[in-house]
Amino acid sequence: MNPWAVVLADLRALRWIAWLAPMLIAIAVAVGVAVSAQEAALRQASARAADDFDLLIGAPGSATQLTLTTIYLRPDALPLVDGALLNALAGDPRVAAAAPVAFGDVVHGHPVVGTTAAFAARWGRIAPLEGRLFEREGEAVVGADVRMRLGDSLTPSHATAGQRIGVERPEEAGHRHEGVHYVVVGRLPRLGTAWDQAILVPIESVWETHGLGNGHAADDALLGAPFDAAKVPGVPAIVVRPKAVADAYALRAHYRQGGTMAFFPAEVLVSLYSVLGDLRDTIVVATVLNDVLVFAAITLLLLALAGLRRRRYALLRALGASRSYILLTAWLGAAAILLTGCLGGLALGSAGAWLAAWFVQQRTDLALGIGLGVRELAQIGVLILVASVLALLPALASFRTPVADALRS
Amino acid sequence: MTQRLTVAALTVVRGHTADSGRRILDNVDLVIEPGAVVAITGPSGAGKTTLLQAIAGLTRPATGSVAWGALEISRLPQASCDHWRRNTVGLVFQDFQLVGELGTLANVMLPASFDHWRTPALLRDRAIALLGRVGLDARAGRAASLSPGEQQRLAIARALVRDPRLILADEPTASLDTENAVAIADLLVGTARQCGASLMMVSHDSGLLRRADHVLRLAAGRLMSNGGLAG
Repeated sequence: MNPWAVVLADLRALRWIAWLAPMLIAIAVAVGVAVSAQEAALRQASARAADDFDLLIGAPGSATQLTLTTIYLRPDALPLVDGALLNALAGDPRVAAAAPVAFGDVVHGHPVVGTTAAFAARWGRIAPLEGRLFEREGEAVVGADVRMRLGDSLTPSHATAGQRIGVERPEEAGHRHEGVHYVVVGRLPRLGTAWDQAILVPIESVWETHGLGNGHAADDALLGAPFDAAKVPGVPAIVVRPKAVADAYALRAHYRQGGTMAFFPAEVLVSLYSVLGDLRDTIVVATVLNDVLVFAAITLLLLALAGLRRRRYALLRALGASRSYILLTAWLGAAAILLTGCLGGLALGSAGAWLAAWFVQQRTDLALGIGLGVRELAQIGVLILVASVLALLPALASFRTPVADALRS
Repeated sequence: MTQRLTVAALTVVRGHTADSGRRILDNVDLVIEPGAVVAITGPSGAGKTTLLQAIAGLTRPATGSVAWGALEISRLPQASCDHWRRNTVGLVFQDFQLVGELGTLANVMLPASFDHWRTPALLRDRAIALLGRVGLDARAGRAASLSPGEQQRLAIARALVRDPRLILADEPTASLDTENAVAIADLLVGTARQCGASLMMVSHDSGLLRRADHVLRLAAGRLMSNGGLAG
């Protein structure tokens, strides 16, 4: 059997409703898809950004703020932890690597982050895409999205970063560290995090820029640990890579006392996600309700239309069509409308999610990978199935009416 | 193969029960031999259309039976009745009952879509030939855009496309001008005779009545004359 001719005739008979109904479905589906995809992508991207930050140590304060400032480079004034801790960590057998992270300067809106060359390369996980890592003071490595070329000379300013990337604001121009220059010697690959907009320099340069010495006993000491315990200044944050899981927990417990704060960024993220999750649940319920309402309205419309098609079904029966042919005709007609709407909604929702991801990236530098989840697809599949099966009811009911009566109707 | 059509004590009632409802057909007996051309006349409301519908299995009799050879149509389950009608009967409705959104060829080939995913070339050729014989272009637009006369001719082409053994036509020339009515009468009767199909038509068209082997008259649901037919 081939009911497509009748299905197409039925759709033609709907005229503008055949366009409007899928459009309404598309909008309803798009809202749900966009919200859900966006939330999932944000969660994944934020978790991925924290990948190299196993354990954070800072001065007692807000773990959330330390996480936001260190990992997502959201600017804030942080209390400093004693720099001598760096030497203690360097000699701790439970520590695979430790690196200071310091902020405070900016170049054209890009945050200048002081750290070690080892952490700039994420402890060997990445290598510069162009050039090399910094090897001496006055050298800088830029993130993938910093629009500067190798060999460019930079003068940092003491200002808040991240206001407008690529633009020198009056605050920045008024607080320039005259006499301090960095030369770009390398570019890092894209990480999909806020660090793609950062300018990474030796921690010693940041200290010296602010008149705190270089943290070493001699002016011409090699960069990085060991530092001189007597001269090393305080730092906002220390990133620690423990050797093992047990070491991580032991270090966290150890540095939660004695004037320091230690935590796994994942703990903060879980806490944030629980808030985000509550919000997500509310949004998901709202979007599902939205979908259900629209689908209910469309199903009622299809039921009404199918009711009006009693005469068409009667004609098909009179000409000898089997019940399966008539049911297939009714189901395909409804499914075509629903499927068209859902596919349109998926496309529209994905486009919306991409657009939202672009805006999020502009604000947070988090690269959100938008993808449709199995859950959304399954949800849409169930809605199509239920609604199209419900649309069969008038066709089923028509079998109870004598053909001659229905033809007269 | 064309069979003898036997209608025995057929009573069709419209209403809630057989006792309280109005009798549209009242105890009708009729036998149509294979290949016979039979015309039915009678005043409006006499039950002519209902008789055709009961024979086609579109309406269930209160009592009595309709049999096609040994096959008792009025007792068949709905699915079997649909199958029999699909393969045996060609129906021409008084009000055409076309699918207005489909073109002429698609309307004629509609019954073929019940069995085939792709219409066999033979059937398609036959459909195009039939459309030519009723004076319609196979590439003409939607059925809804045709004149009533064209729609009637299209309905006749659809009824004949599957080479039915029993043609039931309700006022097949009512919407046609004299010239077209003659052509359609020739087509219907000629096709029936050529294929050995039985033709039963409700009509007041004298041209059609003249071509019939037998003319029956229905009045108030009763068969007043059987034109010499057995039954």
